[in-house]
Amino acid sequence: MMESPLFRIRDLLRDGESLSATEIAQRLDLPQDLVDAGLQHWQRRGLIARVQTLVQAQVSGSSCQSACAGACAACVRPQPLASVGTRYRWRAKAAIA
Amino acid sequence: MAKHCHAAAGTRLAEGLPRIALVGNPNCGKTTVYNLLTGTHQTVGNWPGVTVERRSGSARLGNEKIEVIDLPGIYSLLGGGGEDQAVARRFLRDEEVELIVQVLDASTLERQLLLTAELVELQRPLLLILNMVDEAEDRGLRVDAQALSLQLGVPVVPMVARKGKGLRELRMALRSALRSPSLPQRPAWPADLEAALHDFAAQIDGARGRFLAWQYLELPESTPQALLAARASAAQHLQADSAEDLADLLPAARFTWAARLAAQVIVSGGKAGWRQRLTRHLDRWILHDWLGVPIFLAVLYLVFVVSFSGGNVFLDFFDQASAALLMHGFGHLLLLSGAPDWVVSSLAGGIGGGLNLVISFIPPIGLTFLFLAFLEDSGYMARAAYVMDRLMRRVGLPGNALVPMVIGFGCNVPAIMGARIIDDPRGRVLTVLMQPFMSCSARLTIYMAFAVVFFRGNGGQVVFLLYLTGIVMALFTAWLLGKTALRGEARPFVMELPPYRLPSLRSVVLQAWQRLRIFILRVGKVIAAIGFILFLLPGIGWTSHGLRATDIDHSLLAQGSEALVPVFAPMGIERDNWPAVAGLVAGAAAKEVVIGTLNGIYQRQAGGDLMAEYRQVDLLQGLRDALATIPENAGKLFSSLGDPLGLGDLANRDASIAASGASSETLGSLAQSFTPLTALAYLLFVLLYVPCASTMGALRREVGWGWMLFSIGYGIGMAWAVATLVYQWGTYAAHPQATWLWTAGIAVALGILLLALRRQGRHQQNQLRFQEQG
Repeated sequence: MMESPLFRIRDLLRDGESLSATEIAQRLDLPQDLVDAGLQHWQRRGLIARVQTLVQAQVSGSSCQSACAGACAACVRPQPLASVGTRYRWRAKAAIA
Repeated sequence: MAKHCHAAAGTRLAEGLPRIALVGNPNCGKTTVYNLLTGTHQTVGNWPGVTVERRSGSARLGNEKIEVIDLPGIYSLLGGGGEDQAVARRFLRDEEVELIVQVLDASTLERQLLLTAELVELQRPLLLILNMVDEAEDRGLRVDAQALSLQLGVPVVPMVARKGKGLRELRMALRSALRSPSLPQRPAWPADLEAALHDFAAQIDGARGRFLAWQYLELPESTPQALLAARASAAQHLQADSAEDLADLLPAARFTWAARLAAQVIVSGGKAGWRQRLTRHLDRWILHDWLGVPIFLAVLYLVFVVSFSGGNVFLDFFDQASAALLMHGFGHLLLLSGAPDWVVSSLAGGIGGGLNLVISFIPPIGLTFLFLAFLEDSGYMARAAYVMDRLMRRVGLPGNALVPMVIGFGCNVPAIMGARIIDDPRGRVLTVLMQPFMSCSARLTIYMAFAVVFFRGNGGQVVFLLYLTGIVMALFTAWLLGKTALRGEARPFVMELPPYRLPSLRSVVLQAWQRLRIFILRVGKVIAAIGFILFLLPGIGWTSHGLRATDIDHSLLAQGSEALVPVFAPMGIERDNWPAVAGLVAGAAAKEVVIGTLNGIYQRQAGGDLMAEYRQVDLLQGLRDALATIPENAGKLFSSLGDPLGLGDLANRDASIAASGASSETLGSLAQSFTPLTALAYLLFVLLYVPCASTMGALRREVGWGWMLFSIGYGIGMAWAVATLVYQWGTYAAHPQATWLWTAGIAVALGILLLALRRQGRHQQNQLRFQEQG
């Protein structure tokens, strides 16, 4: 059975890395709008935090293609520019409490 | 019960008309579909207790007429978002409509289908509009509408609403769906979830049992007491094989369903089209770390120039033509019909004058709205908000709060209404309350007149100082309220940056017209009423024969103003300078009126026939003169592009007199009545005190009576405090003790205000906590 994209997003962030929505979309091969919706859910639940804001206008395109040789999902299906530059990290249980 | 309340609140356009409700995520093109269906027949409705609007209008499907309701954009029926989303949620859950029409952005289908999953569980007739299929194709995505329709068991209409493509098919589909409504097929949820939902729903009364079962399982705090045991049993069943929280497990099922369905109906392939490439190239500059903000300021400068310099081309025409018709012409008719002088003076001068003021504002405000709609539809506004987010968050405001602030330099009214672009209700209230401190173009006329007389050598600097003081006071107000009465953090942006689009002329014009219509109708009522009162006062007075048109020195305004002078004494206004106070009182209607009142008072003091303007009226000549101002002002437009504030006029005495609208005699009288210091204090008061009548009307509409009254009181208090401090410290040597006393008094008053605001903030937070617990 297909694992829910919502839990896949959570599991990736729970590994400890802080990631942008674009990076999550690329790593999980998910459309970025779905990743954005998932991040909104976990944000509402208070389980992820925004850690920094960077401006990275180039979400997909030449630099993306050079990094993944044009093979990743974001290059095959160019993504809308959503939540550009914002990174997310999983919040420890203690911090939430 | 809830159903009854909401049904009573939601007024129908006409009884018996079939109703359809348009629903969808924000930014999916819902309003464009609405405008296509309704044309210019839409009406704007207010929902009780909220400031967001829903629209309803009529549309024709062949011979049939239907009512179309456009709801605010929404991501989920279960929660999240601001008050606007709550409005849409309540409507969809509780109100009866014949058909729900979900508009989906085909280029972000997966996300849009999350809402579909919830709508399907409502089990009400549904139709889907697959909008922006051109943008999806531009991204190399083709959505199989027929496959989607088969999967969901509801009609699906592909459209490019912006271009009107698919409208005919939509009308046909709507007609057919209204004639033979079909319920959507429920998704095949995992067996344990389906069983739990089924069992739990059986124990909930009413047609929405299944949807409520979802809601109670996902949001336990919303479960009624009577159903807690049933919920616990269903939850236990569901969590038997899973450690996941139900608040995650149920949304996860929707995510899985949306992703799976999208994978079945999306045919991927191809490369990004020109729109994506253009978006990427433009965003490289527009979202640039260093260039983003200057580009944004340049765009706003353009809004400023086009709206107000462009609006000025027609402003005099609207002003003079409406004055000729509604004031002079109307007054003449009243005189001919034998009405007494005071009736003529108050009706033609008061109500006619009030309407004249509203009509004069139409060109700059209309252009501002046009420009705003263009920026919103083009996709730029979302980016502007993004680049300003970091800066504005430091004072507790969302990034897009800056947009209304800059519009406020032209006129506070569209600025207040422009705050609707802010989703966060707290941020919106803060932004609205900042606007009265932005120096609108009306205040510039007063600055000009005083700068010419008292600050000839450095008028530009003084005017800039006033503009700067307004900005600082606006930010201070947001910071103060954000730390006390409206505590909270600026809501983080989770923004979708849509690709750039060339907005359709029809959509932009309709959006602008809707906003302008609200301004004319709603604000017009307030300004006409206040104009009536404030015109009555200087024109009439108690005489031995009763209430009669009198000279200005014996008018109600003179008597009232003289009584008020002592209040303004600490800021340097002397007893014989009552016209200055009268100017401030009259200026509550509109800031232009301050200098107009001073002008009028000084001229009336010199004598003259009050009714002359109504006795000898040449209507045609008045209209001809009005028309002649258009080419004259158009010529001026090109010379003003480099100086939209008109500060260059300060270097030239004649030009600045003309710009201020005051006569040379008035300026001479000003020089006798003020000193440079009292003039500066007076100008600061003018900058900060009570917003004009149209701004008050806009405040009431956007944030309600309470905040409107607060804004008026706070503005007057701050204006008085700042003007008094400037005057007192400027004349410290003459009365050191009084200066310290006034300063201490102001500090104490500020402290009391701070405490009251903090208390109010705590009270509101307690209420919220109580509601959440309840």
